[in-house]
Amino acid sequence: MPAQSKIRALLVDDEDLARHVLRELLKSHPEVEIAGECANGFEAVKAVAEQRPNLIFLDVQMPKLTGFDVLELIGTEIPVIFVTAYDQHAMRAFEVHAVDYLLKPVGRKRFEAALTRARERVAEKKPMPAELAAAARPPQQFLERVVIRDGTRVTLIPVSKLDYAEAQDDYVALASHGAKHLKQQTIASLEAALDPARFVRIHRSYIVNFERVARIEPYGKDSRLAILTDGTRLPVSRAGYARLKSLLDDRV
Amino acid sequence: MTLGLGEKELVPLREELELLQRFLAIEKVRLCERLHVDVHVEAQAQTCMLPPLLLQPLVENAIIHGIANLPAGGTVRLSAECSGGHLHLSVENSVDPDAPPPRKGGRGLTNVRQRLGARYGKEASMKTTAEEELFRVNISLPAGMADAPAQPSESELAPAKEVRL
Repeated sequence: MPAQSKIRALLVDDEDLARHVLRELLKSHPEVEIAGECANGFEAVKAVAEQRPNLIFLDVQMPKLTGFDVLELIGTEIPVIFVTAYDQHAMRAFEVHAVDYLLKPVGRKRFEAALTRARERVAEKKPMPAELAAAARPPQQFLERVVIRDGTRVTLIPVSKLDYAEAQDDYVALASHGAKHLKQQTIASLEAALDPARFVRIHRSYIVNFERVARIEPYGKDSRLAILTDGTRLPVSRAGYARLKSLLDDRV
Repeated sequence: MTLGLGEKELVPLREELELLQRFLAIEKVRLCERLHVDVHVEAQAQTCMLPPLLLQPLVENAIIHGIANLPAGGTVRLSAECSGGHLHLSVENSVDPDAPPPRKGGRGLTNVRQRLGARYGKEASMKTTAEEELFRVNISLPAGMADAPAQPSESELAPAKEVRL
């Protein structure tokens, strides 16, 4: 077997018993080396950076960070086999081009089929387009928290604690409790993911949490400033002001 | 045992706790060291009667909505005491402070509340408390005692004890 098709697999599941099953199933596959085991999404993000696996067995339902959150943070270059007890995530799994979707309890036959597909995918070495990860969110459901990765460290910001977001080239700076976190995402795609009843695009470069707006002041000839409860001043464009006003009218 | 429960109107707390221990043993296999359980039951409360499977959905909730969402796990605290002619039960669990509010339409709490209301009316009460990192359910119901055919043995009436799974 050529060296490049050697598989280094990462096992990610919060239940030890589930990882044990995978270990057992992998025993008859000497060509698959277990690069590491992770009991949650935080460990997984770290292990991906440090162990450089080329295949991930990924559980979906895990504490705090789901399997889909992990994918959003690590990108979709590494082939993933989802292993989950629930079938309702299957559509999302296909949207992020998972190699396969295994339902627990995992049987030997089904496992072998998934591994064969994974081997082909690893040999192809075809990276997946990064934007597919963004499609991982189910439609018609607004973001409840933002996940941010800084190296191997992962931060979660519940949207209720997000004060505002500022566009910075290909990044958005997310302001929460006086701290700013950079995330590689366009402000437009963030806006689309947030609940429009709670977040307003007040400017080309700014989205604000409506709850944080204390007052609006005129500024210059045609524009205004939004003063937040913590004193932060953000520019409001004419279109942004119209959006703020209509949200206010909806609420009254 | 489970099938037989439906026929019983009320069971002594001791029996409900035995059943819970079995349920917790299964969850323990799933969650391993992430699940800590503290049970603190007053000796006198052991023989108090309550509707069967009243506590089970509460403990199940504590695990599904609480402990299972915490990467480092947490503790489920169950306590029972008898005072003022009432049995006071509380189920408490750690929660992730950043978790989105639980989705509506859950049946567990509603069912328990309705069962209490149907049987005891205003004599029983149920209260939930949600703090930053803690969720607690308090139940109070009239403390009927088991019609003990014989005095419970000393071993059955063990003093309040803490069980750590």
